[in-house]
Amino acid sequence: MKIINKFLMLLCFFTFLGCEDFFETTIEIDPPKYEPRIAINSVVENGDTEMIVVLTKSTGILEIEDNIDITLPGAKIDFKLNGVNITTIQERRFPAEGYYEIDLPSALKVGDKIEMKVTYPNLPVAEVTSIIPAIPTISNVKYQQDGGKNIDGSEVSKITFDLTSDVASYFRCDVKINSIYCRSFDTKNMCSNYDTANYAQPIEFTDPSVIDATFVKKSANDPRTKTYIGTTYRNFNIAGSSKGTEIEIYTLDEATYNYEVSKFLYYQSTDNPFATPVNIKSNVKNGYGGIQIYNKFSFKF
Amino acid sequence: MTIARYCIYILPIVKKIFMYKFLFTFSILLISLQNYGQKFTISGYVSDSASSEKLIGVSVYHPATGEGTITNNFGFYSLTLDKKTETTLVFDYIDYMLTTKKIKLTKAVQLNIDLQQTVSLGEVEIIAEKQKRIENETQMSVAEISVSQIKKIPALLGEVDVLKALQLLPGVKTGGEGQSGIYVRGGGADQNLIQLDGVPVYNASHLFGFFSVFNSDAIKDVKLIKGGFPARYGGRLSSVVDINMKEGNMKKFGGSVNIGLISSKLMLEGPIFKEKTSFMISARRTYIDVLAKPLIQQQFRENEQEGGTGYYFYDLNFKVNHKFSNRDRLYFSIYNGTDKFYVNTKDKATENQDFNTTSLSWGNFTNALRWNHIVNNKLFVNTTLTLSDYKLKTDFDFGTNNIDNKKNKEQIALNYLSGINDIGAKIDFDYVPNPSHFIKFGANIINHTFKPGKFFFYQENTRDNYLFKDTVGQQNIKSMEYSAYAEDDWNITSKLKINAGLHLSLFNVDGKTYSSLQPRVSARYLLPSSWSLKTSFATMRQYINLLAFEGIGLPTDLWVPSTARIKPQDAWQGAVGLAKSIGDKYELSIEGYYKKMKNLVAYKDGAGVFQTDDWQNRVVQGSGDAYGAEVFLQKKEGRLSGWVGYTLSWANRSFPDIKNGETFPYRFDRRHDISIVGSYEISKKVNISGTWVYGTGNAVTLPTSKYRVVDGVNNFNQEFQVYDQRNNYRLAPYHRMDIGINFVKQKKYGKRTFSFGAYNAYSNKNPFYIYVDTKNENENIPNSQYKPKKVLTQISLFPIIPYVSWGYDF
Repeated sequence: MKIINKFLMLLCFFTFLGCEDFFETTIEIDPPKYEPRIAINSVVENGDTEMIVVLTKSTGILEIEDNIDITLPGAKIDFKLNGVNITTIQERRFPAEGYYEIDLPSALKVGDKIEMKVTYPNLPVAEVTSIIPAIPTISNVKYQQDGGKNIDGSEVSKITFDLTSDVASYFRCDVKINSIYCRSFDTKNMCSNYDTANYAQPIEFTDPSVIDATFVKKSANDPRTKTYIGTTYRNFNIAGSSKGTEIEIYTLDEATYNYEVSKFLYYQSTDNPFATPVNIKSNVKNGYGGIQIYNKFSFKF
Repeated sequence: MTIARYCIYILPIVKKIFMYKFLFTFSILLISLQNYGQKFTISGYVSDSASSEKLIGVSVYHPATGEGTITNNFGFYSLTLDKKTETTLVFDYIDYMLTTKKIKLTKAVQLNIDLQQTVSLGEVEIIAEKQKRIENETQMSVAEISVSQIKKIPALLGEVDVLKALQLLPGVKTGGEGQSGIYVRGGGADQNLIQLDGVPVYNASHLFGFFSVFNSDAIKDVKLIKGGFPARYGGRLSSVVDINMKEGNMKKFGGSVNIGLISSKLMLEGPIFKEKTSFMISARRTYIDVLAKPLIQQQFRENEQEGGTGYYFYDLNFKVNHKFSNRDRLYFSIYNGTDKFYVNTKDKATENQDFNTTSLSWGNFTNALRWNHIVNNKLFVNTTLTLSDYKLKTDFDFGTNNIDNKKNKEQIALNYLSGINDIGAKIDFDYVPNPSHFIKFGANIINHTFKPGKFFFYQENTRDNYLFKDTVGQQNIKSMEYSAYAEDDWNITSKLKINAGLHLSLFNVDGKTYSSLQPRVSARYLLPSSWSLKTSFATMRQYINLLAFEGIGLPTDLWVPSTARIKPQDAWQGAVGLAKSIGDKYELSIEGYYKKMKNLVAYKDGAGVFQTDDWQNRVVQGSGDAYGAEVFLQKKEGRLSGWVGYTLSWANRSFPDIKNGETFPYRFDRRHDISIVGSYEISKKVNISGTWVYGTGNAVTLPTSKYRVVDGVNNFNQEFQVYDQRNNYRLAPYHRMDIGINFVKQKKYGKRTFSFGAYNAYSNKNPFYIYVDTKNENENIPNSQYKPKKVLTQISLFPIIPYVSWGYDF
């Protein structure tokens, strides 16, 4: 019995000792090793005559940004358009340091090649090259306001169009009704939260390769002409339907498509301890970010 | 054209000639194997003397010549010896008395033997030299743990767990804290063929992986094969876990009851017709939901609601077997297990009464019908029909009753269903022409139905007279898997023995047929001083894949087939090792292995489970390799029994679509792994047991840096974290000690056992996962300003968890 008593006492002792503040522990480790790099951010559209480039640097995962200046004022930017050096580069102080404005000699057009090299003390030289993508032929665009019902019972409109191209093409689609993007809907499928820009109403494509109901890839193996069928929420409560429905289509280059898709996946996996982490894809050599290129055109109904 | 036409006519003739020639040669070989010298065959079954339960793997040998064999999965043996007026046979089996039998061998003899279990403190009277020694066996990379040993191992919450016992063996790793999943020699969770009475079990865990579905009271034996796979096994790359249910006592009624902290178990067995028909039935159920019910009801009452919430799982095992004659025996076994989590609420209000019903349930249903037939004293055949069904079902049903006090109802229901269903048939032959050969051959056919996930949507509003129903998701996929095999365990010389075989498999899906011819060979060579050198080579192919988050056994894990797009997984494994018995009580094995795998399947970055798109778009295929060394020292008999295992290993993966195909460590790449398991019988009434495990921390993916971008379209300042490499960081090493003590007392009608113990006895904070968190650096300074500080935070699951259970065997 002595053995039993001692065993049980020991068990109780450890039980009470062990449970105190057990489940969550802050662990002290050496921060994972990393090499700071330049992040290049720029967005251009076909027809732009200037480019804004924002430069920042990466920091360690355990560093607090309040204590570190991540902007890169005074960086050296070597910029070429179609192989020609462009020197009309100005550094701006607004809205923050690290903003650079590049005046282009002519409006950007399909096939233009942009090359950028960024040099900054103590950071590896970052380089990026982008080409303004071709605009695929989009035809037979149809909009059917009464397009049936969605899985959740909501009424939808149907959109179809044909896309013809000989090479891999990437694009994103948004729908705007009466010049308004609808951000969210109420229980009766009425637009309850408007936004004048940015939050576009998505199209649910039947094509399973479409990411985030927005980003579409027509691969080189697809038929030359491919029909896309999508549905979008029908919108009833916008007064005066005179402005109609507008479908906006942006063609992207492959790097921008990959960036957008990885960003979508990144947010999907955030805060899920069991999900596989996602890296944002970049076409910057020795750096992060990239030049995002959009060719925007739209169809009105 | 003419040549082509001739070929059309000639080729079938050539094929026929070739086939006849092959059959002729094979027949001559078989005849020649039978007819050298004047020999007679002794055959029969070996059973437990108390229950008539058939014993698997009993060594039956002739001490004068050293010739011998072992009983098959149904306790049958066949041994052909030279004619003798009198000779002696020895029957040797762990935990049973070594038994000798004198016979006259002047004609073929049928000899059924009952072995008596040892009842003393594990000490066995040695009356003959033991033959079942590790160095004599051809098979390497195999481990057998007796259920009695498993029951002595301390367990989480006292739930004795077969799969968790296997995790304590070298080369086998656990998925995470408390998880019952196994990862063998760098393989994935889906690469283990876990079969119960020959039927694959697809989701072998309860309670999100914390317990396995195998109720130890219903289990007869467990065998794990990690490499050197004999040709009779196929369909998975990394391991075979072969579990057999008890058959039921043929002689008398008996059973056991066990009451534990979270579940209770009952097992009954006995003869239906004495020595002819027996049954075994076993049930287990948790009762967390029952115990918590009063507290939950109180909470509901406070919220002016009624309903219930809870979680439970249960298992039912049933087996019946009937002996038609000494030649024919029929077995029928069923397993049915289910987990269910549910929440039901209903407002007590009479008007606009909201209701909500949510449930998540999953479970396996398997059954097997087996017919054993002794064709003659050298040929044994087992025919099996199998069914295995796994289902996951989620139901969400909510709405409002009696809207505006007018009995109108608004209801929305969303159901999800996924699973896999197998119907199979197989035939296995054991042919023992002489003591030098043990030939096994057979064929198997399985009809798979994969259900990759469907949503059913229903919406109704009786006030607005509105009804909507829809089904979205993927269609069921049907496929057929065929396999055939032949192998021979061949004593070439007194020192050299090989097991060579071929496994052929075919898989038909979506109009596409895959085929594979898989050579298997194992060899052992006896060295001086009871050492033997063993080596093996095996190729394996796998046509089904599990889409799962690594490390945790979730019911949402989805089985999917290889398709025209997704290629079958392939692997080959080579191993070399040494084995030795040290005295009669210790066994030592040292093995090194290398395994190469290709067409492994993994989720793409960010992909999830509850998606309606084609699952094939969510996966990537890549390759992997694993290599290492394992040391295993085991003591099976005596007052002190247990083992020490050590593994040094590497496991890597590479996927072209992940980080440009860079090789990265597998999540369960664990450099060092140590397990020490021991139980000691202090007296007939008290035994103590303990385990200690240590393992290098699992590899996890942590961000190394972060950067900000200005998003062009949305114009938002966003932060992205950078992951330099998959699995670039190690969790802290895992170590844990479990202890237990059993008090056994013989009572009037049986044996009573009280068990006490503790899981994680010194309450080590083992990592479950870690994440980057932001905390206040001035947290402990009163009236100070918030000062953010980024830290790594580790989540641990189990501190010391004591357990107690009461059991009664009668």
